[in-house]
Amino acid sequence: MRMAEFDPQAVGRPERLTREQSEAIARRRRARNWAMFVVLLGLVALFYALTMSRLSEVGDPQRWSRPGAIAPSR
Amino acid sequence: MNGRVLGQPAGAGDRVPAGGAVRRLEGPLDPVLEYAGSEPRDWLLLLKPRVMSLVVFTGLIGLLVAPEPMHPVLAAIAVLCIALAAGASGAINMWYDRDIDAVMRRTARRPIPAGRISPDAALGYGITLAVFSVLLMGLAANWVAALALALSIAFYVFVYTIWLKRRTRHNIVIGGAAGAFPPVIGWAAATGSIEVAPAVLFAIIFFWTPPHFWALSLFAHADYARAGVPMLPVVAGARETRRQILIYTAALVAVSLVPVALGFAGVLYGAAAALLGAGFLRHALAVLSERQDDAGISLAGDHAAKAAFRFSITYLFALFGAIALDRLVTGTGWLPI
Repeated sequence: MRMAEFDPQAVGRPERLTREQSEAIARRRRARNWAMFVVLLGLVALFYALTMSRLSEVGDPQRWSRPGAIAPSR
Repeated sequence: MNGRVLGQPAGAGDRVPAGGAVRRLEGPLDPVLEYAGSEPRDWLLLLKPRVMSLVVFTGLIGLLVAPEPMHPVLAAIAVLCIALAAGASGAINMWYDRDIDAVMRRTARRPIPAGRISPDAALGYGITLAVFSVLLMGLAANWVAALALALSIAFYVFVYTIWLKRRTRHNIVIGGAAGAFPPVIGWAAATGSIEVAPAVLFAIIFFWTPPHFWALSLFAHADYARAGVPMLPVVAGARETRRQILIYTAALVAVSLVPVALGFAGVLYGAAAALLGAGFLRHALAVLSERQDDAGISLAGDHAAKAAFRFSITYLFALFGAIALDRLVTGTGWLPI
């Protein structure tokens, strides 16, 4: 027997929704999903920019001569 | 400290119990949207974007007037951290104050009292953003700035929101320090240290906060009284509030001239501070002498208090803009222009 799925957002919601209510829920869920996509994309860009800026502060890794440095010295 | 709300028995105004000893504002719920959940906009509103703009601006100025240069991208990330931390504090504040927000007209439509975001979700959101902003500041700038950022969040949440706001008429005076942190954080992000100059910028915002909020509370005191928040006009009356606005404005004008006395700013800033200070004092005097009844309640529609509130915002933007411009002209900052 298949167990009923628990939907926390459905707590307090009437069992039967009108067409307008269903559409409003779908519209807002879609908007939240897009917002989350933009936030995740922004995080990728943020950490990329942070890493590149930090690297530019310490100079070109190819010129590092310290033994054990990330990039070998030429 | 006297935290009693006028018109209520002693102790009644000290804390509004969650769930409400006071009547909630009842508004008709939209039959469709009631079940539709939050919109992305609601999550932005939780960050108090209007408060954030002033915080970001003063933080940016603290960063720009510092003597050490900072990588522009890292500087932008540091400002983003200040904005996120301010937003996180705002979200946690809205979570804690959801009971009084529900009874104040000005705040009843916020996402939590309106039922669009659950209190637990708002708290989790605020804590996540707070931790993220502090860690990001440590990675992008330095850990001194990150520590100052963490302190500012803790001060706003624990000292102002939880401890002072519902207990004492001095809530805004002491709690205002939370909003004074951004220039210190900005300076620390650029230099890795905290010195006298950013401490003076801190003091300017510290003394600016009481007249700014008391001007607002003069024409919004009914809301605060309904929610049991012991703002000065509610506890000590409007007449005393008008007097305190003038005292704190005079102190603010004196403190705003300290950067010139310390040699941290020049004539350009000094002239701007004097002119703006004269303007603010004129507004404070107008608030004091406005046509009022025996209790100090305005008989002129709080025209003077509203004008003083609007001017106080312009004042802070212009004063901090002037200090950045002064440092640019004298070449003492690192502004890359």
